[in-house]
Formats: sequence, C-alpha cells, structure tokens
Amino acid sequence: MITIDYYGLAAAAMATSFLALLMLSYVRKRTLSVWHALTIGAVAGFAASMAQSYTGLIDWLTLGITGVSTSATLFVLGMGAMCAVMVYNILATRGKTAVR
Amino acid sequence: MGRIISQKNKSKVIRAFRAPSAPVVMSLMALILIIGAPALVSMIDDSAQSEHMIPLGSYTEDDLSAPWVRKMVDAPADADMTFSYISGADNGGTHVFTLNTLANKAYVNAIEGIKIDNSVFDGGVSRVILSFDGSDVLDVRLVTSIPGESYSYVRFVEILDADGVGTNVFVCDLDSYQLTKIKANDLSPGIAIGFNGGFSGVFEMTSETYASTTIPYGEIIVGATGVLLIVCAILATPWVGTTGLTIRRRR
Repeated sequence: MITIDYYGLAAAAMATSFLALLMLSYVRKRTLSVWHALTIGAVAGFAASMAQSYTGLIDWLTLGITGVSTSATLFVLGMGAMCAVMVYNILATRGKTAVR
Repeated sequence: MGRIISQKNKSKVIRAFRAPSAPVVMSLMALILIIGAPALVSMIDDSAQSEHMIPLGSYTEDDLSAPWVRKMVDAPADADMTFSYISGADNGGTHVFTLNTLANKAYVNAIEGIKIDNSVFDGGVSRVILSFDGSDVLDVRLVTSIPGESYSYVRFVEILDADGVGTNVFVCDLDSYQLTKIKANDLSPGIAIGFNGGFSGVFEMTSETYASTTIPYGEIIVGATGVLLIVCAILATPWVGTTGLTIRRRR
C-alpha cells in the first residue's frame, strides 16, 4: 500500500508516460487529435494502475526516484532513458516512429 | 503461418514466417522488461514463503521508539490519554501498555510509534509475528518510510483458528520491495495497532521474528532489468542498432 505523495505521483506519471509512448509507437496515424491523446493517456494510466496492482511497478519506481536503492534507481534510469529516446524519435521523425 | 501455393508439379513456400521488425521487437522487449521484472519478483515472493525459516526470538526495539495514542474523532479535547508503557526490552520480551484513565479507553483508536530496530531486518528477518493479550486488536500495520520522503505500510494478517475465529495473533511476511525499502535506509519501521472499540485499557504484546537465507533476488532482477533497459534505449536510438554503429558522413 503506497501513500500519495510527490514521489508516488512522479512514479505513476513516469509509468503512464512510458506506456503511452509505447502505445504511440504502434499508432500509424500521423496526426493525432486531443481526443486521441486523451484516449491513449487514459488507457496507459489504466494499464499502469493494473501493473501497480499486480506487480508493484509504481512502488519500485518510487523507490528508485527517491534514490535510496541502487537497483531501483537503475530501473528508473533505464525507463527514463527509454522514454527520452522515444520522445526524441517522435520529434525527430515528426511523429512517424517512436522506436527505430 | 506459412502459405503454400502449388504451381503445377512443384510446391513453393512463398512466405514461411515474417520476422517482426526491429522497432516492434525493441518496444515489446521494453514492455516485457518493465512489466515483467516486478511481476517476476512478485511471483517469486509469493512462491518463496519458505517453511525453512529460522526463529530469532523477539525483535529488538529501536531506541527512538515512542508510543503514542491516536484518538477517536469524537474524543473530547481534554480527555486524559496518557499511558504507561513497559518496553519488551525491560520485561522479558513482553510489551505492556496501560492507559492511565481507563474510563477513556473507548476513545483509543490506535497505538502507533512502537518501532522495530532496523538492524533486525539487516539480520535477514522477513517474517514478524505479534501476539496480543488483554485487548481485541482490529488490525496491525508495519509502517516503513524513507527519511523525509514517502511512507508506506504493509498489513499484518490475523491467524484464524479452526472455526475461523481470530486468535489475536498477527503475522507479516515482508516482500522484496518492503525489505529493500527497510534495508535501504536507517529509519526503523513502526508498528501501528488499530482497535475498533476492542481496547480494554491495557494490552500485552509479544513478538517472534523469523529469518530465511535468501539472496536479494528482487534487487538483482530489478537492477539487471534497469541495465537491460538502458541497453534497449541505446539500441532504439537512430545511431546505434542491432547491426552495429551507424556513422553519418558529411558531404
């Protein structure tokens, strides 16, 4: 059971962003409307909450963000690196691809 | 799935299997790693409730342990909620808590602030059993925290007798996440004992701790996954791919 604080929120946002970017990499449509973004965000948020419920994903991310555990911090760094690369690819290819 | 087209006397396999593209493999691998690592740790936690645990006796109480009473919301502001507390360290392992004004026992919602010394968990303890006598306990929580940061808690489970009636004995098996969190800093986890009108004004608490010899698989799996994710991130860049390094030449 985690409590809601800034670190927990940051971890939840990170998990949601990662899943949303992954979903975005499978979307072929090049121009996305606000409604597409909202739908993807909602589905990614739901998936993140399910991942937390069954695996404790956000717990580990919270531990990594606070920096007290080296292994959890490595996990967060890896996830952050994937997010950064996907965002870069999306911007560099003007939305065509997130992973290449 | 393959598609076989017969052309007169000879058969020809047009397309036996189309390998997924590198981006698909990379994104799927990232997803599996992110979800799979904590899931694997959780699965091992569930299946590794070892019966070969070593009993280590009562836990050691932290020097900063300072119990306090959480009052009911309807408790009068001037209600005397002072109490006397005898630590298990001074009483053969039995903690004794007595409310000074027994008439106010109905206002006691919970007792918090009793702390288990952090070094107990460094010694490999992963199971704590608390037995209560004198009052009916509703629930017990182990509250873990990080200095100045977030706290979380894990609930103890009450052991039931053959008739399904609570025995006032609570057990807590800590998972990899909680153990990592406790061992990662010097703060000692606290015990929160909740009552729901079951407080009689006095209660005694004894403890048992159990250790098992396991490797810190949770940290190993999560850390190794982090390294793999960093490698995946490098391979997902336009400059480095699975076939090698791509160097753009200037014309």
